[in-house]
Amino acid sequence: MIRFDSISFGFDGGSLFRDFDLRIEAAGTTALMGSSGSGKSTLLRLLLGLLIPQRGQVVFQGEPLRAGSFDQLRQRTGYLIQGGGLFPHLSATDNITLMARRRGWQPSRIERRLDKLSELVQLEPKLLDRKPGQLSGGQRQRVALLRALMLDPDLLLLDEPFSALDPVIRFQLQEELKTLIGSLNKTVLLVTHDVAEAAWLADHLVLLEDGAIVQQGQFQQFRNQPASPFVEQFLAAARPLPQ
Amino acid sequence: MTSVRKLTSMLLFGCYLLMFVSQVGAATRPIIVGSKNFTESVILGELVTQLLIARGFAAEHRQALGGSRILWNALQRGDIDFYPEYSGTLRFELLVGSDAGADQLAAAPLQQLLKPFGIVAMESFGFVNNYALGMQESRAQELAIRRVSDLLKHPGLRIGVSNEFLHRSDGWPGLKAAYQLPQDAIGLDHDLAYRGLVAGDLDLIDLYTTDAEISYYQLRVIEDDRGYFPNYHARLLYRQQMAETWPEVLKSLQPLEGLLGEAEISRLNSLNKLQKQPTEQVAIEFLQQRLQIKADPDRPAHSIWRAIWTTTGQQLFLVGVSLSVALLLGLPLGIWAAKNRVAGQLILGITGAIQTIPSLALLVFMIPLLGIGTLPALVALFAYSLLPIIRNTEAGLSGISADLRETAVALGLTAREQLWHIELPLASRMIVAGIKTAAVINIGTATLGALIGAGGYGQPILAGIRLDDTGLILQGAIPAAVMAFLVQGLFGWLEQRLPGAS
Repeated sequence: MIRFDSISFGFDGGSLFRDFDLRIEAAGTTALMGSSGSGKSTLLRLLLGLLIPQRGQVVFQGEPLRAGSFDQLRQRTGYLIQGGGLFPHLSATDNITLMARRRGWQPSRIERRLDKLSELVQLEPKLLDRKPGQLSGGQRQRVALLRALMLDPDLLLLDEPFSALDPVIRFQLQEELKTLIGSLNKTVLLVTHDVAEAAWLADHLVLLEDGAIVQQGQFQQFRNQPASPFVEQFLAAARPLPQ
Repeated sequence: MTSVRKLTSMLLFGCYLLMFVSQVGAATRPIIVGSKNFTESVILGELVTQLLIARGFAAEHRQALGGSRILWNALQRGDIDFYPEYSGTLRFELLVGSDAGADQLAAAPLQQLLKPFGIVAMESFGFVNNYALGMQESRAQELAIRRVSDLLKHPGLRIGVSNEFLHRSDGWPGLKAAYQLPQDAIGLDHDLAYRGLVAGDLDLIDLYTTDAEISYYQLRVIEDDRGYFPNYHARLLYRQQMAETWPEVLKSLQPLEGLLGEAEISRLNSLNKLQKQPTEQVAIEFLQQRLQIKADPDRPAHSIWRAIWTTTGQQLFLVGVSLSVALLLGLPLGIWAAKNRVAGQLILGITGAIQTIPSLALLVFMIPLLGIGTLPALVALFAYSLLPIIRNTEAGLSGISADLRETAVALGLTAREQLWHIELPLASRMIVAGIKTAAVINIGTATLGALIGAGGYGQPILAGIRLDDTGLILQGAIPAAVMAFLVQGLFGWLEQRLPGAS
């Protein structure tokens, strides 16, 4: 569905990606893993045209994306930016329904969709009238997730959707998202640095280091045939509970 | 270069808009009488105005507009129709540098000298008001100073003269050269000079010989033993065209010729300046006695509240119009500055440079371009209000976090939707803070508008300074402060209700 074709890109004259290639299959969940600065979020931003590669191209459903064609992609994409990116001057409802209203959805349709989604992520309806500043971190993440889901997009880009959440809520939300993805049959691109989360949610894992793919495949392959000592290190970095 | 052109055309558009607004306000223009910023000139101006009103003409007095040069230019431009001037000032100051040579200036008939300018002088009001130097009697005795030549023996004298006198060719520079005086003088407001003299901060000041203070403070007038100072006959000036287009106006003013002797004008100066009778009352009562003018039964009694009401209206007009136009242009310019780095530096650079011009100087710069009155004041205030609005709009928009900006793009909002639904609301608090700053600066600066005849709260303040009348000063200063507080409070309240950029 998505192809990164010999992408070269760097910030401020630097070079992060060099001839980078990656395929993302439709109707599956792909997890991008790696340490900070490895280029996970940058890939999402390149895909959405928020950053423009110095060389190479992003191909979406066989069509190379150009300045004019990103709009079509964006309209079919739900994007949850790292940290949520909720607009502080809009209520939760207005944040979620902003694009639906701009596209001229009927109020009744918006309401039905909102009801269904808030039920799905178990967000109390009374919270929807609040501004992001009046919501807890977990509630904000759910609102941001609802906004990404509102237009029923084909493609979901989730950039660390569970970061900065307390463990209980994180656990719940991971459960909810797994159910959601399973029932919606969408293409999901998930950015995370948590191996367990990636293994639990995704069927295809990609590990990045300094803009290059170290290994990709199913979790079993990572565990049984680690491609390099870095992969082993990365998998082992979770601390087991004491006995 | 396109941004320079675009910026210039936007600023010009603002000026046209202001011109249009002030023209609408001035559709039916009364006869405008001007006067200089000292008591006698204001009284003469008021006499002319009240006489015209009594004869059934619509007339307005723009009091205390500034120095001779400002009024002379305003008369030629047609911003004012009459103003009282002194023959010596014309000969030795205003006409210097014209085609006439020095000998001619000193000797030729005044009308002949004025003709090339299209200006006519009526016959003298009947008195001369000369320059002189004066000291406190006790100090003069102590130093044995009777004649100007005696000043040579006291090089340490502290001398303060009116700002105009300090620079006029028939003033301090000429006097210093004629007597070879060793002292230097400082310049200050003529009315404040008296206070400095009486308080003992100054030893010697310049006088106008009809000033009421001379007898009041029993000052010694220093004898001009080399006959340096010329005679200054007070005469009313008008444009030649007036004789053709409105002869009945001139006819009705003829009784003023020769009406006032030195004692008479000195008495009127004293009534106004020392006994603090309102200028209007002094003029009307004199005209009633001498020209048997009937009291106007409809004339409203002089009331502080009425005066405050009028100046409030003028002040609100100045502030409201200039601020609105600044807003109309400042917002798009601020948005443009935030979106385009090159244009931004240019816009902020230019408006920043305007801001560094002292407000008084900016107002005076406007005079050769736009004359005196409401329009130049509006343009100056507009120019001053631009920077805070533009800078805060730019800062508010630039301060929006990259995350929110990217989210707006990624959601698929168009550039216009991003601006109206995301960026401007997020920047609104900053923008309102900028408007608040602009409004408060504007209210303060607008009080200076009175210097160029734009009215407002500055008018009682200037008159109060001239008449040494604290009550009159407060009549302008307190409402100005109240207005600034109210505006600050209003915008502050609004600010609290707006989202801040996170």
